[in-house]
Amino acid sequence: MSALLEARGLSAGYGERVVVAGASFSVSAGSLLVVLGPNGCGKTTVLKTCLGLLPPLSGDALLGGLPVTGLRPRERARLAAWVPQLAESAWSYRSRDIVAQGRFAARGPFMPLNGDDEAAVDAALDAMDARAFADRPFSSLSGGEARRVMIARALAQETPLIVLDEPAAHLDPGRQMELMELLAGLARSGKAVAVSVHDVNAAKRFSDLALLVGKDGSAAFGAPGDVLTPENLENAYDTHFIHGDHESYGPYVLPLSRKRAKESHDGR
Amino acid sequence: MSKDTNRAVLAYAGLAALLAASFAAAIALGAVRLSPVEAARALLSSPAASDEAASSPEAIIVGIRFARACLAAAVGASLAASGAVFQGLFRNPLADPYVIGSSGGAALGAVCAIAFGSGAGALGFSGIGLAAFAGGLGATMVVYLVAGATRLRSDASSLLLAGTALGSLFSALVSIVLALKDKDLHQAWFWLLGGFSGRGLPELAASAPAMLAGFAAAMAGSRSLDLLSVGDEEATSLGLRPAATRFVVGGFAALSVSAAVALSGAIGFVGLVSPHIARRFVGPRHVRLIPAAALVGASLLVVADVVARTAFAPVEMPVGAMTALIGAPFFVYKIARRGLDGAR
Repeated sequence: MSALLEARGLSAGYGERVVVAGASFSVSAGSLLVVLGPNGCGKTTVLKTCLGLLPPLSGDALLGGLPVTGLRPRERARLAAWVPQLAESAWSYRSRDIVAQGRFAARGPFMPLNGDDEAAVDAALDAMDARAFADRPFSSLSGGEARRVMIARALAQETPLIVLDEPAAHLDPGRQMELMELLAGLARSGKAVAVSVHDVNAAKRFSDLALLVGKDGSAAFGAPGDVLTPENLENAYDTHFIHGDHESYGPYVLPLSRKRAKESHDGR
Repeated sequence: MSKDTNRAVLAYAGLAALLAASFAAAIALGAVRLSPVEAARALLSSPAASDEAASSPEAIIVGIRFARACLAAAVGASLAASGAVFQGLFRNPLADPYVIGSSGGAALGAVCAIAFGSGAGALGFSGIGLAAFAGGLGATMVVYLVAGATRLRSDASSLLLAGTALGSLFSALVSIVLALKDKDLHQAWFWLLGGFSGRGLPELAASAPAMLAGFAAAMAGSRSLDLLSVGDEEATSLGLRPAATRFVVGGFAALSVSAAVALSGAIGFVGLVSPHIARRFVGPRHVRLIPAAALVGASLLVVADVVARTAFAPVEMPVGAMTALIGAPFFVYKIARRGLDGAR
């Protein structure tokens, strides 16, 4: 199956500053890719570069098999939806108006939204269980509610690929579990999903593919079991983990203690 | 959906009634007071009636006042709609129609024409009007060029910075010209504060095409303006070109503003407050906000001009001072009650 999102030797960063170097990975329809790595390692940068929101420093980023730099914004927005980490809107748009923004790529700037668009917006609100606050101002929503509206907007965009930047941040454990189940469900329904997360256990349990970005700009890609090994995690996060196997959860890791500076230096 | 639509229809009806009431006041009030019945009779009869009725004193007064109210309404609508556009383009509640330098450029053009003598008018504009129009548009182009030459391209903050910096530069040049040619100070001063005396429907006809083009572009760009509310990067991910949108929609709005300024001078405050007032009634979606802001701006400026004409008659006040005098307390009251961007 052809990849909906693919990076080939992709280096991402800002001007002279390379954040991630030579990353190669891909995700196809029906798969969930998790992106992990310590704070500031460049998870967001590499995902934005794949979506054409930042210019690649070298290498290729492809959406639906086409180089992202050659796509026009609306073509791009019909292939991939982006759910940013922080969501804020000037003025007090209703949540429904925010979700309806997802229809811009399909309808264009001049045509008014039609019945199909309204149906897509309603379906997206229902899928995210967000009908109850659809008519409330977006700026008045709680963090969890706002996140659901943002994902609903991505669903309303009706793209084969959804990319989410730390959607689990600031969610309680129940909402985090709900979110991961939802993303796994989207993948099962045939979408390609790429998501950056910090919960190593959830990442391992729900994903089909994993990308582990290191502080040094390296990027390891493969099956979650091969990439998210205790040794790799220890190196990536400068932290000792213990691992175990729970009869109903399966394999898990727990952070035990932070590596001391000298120790982590020797480890490199 | 329908509840929302009903509320918007109600809001538009109310704003249209407000504009009609401000026109009625503009026709009835002045040095010669007319009763509503006299005014209505003169207004309705003037085009079709016999020569005798059309040349009656009432008909002449009504004709002049009606033309002046039309001028004020058109300028108010243009400034308010452009204000809504610039607030949207820059995601900034403090943006006004002059934010990318058009008023500074127009003022410089007009003051130079006053001080050094203007050429003959053209395209229906007076010499001073034409100089103001050209100055406003020229300034906008310079701002776009300066912002585009920076590494950030036409992003919101480089445009705002370039507009502010060049606006200050133009003000300085205006001051220098006025200091050199101080005999023209009084005429220039009245022009800088804005007003409608001595202008009529022919001048309005010259400015109208640019104003209408600006309004049409604003409406065509309304959904793009909505997308910009979430920031450039997110808007890009949704399929928009933010820099191109700012260039095209902002350029047409600057065209409209330059035409308005050519007509009446740089009248302040209308373009800043009208979008905020309109947002209260119809919400933030630009397809509804822009026409509503135009109605608010038109009403506000017609009323401000009535006050400018009558408050200290026979001395006429600059209308730009009146807009702030009427608008500022209302604006502060509204903010104090519900916050600048409070939920409806």
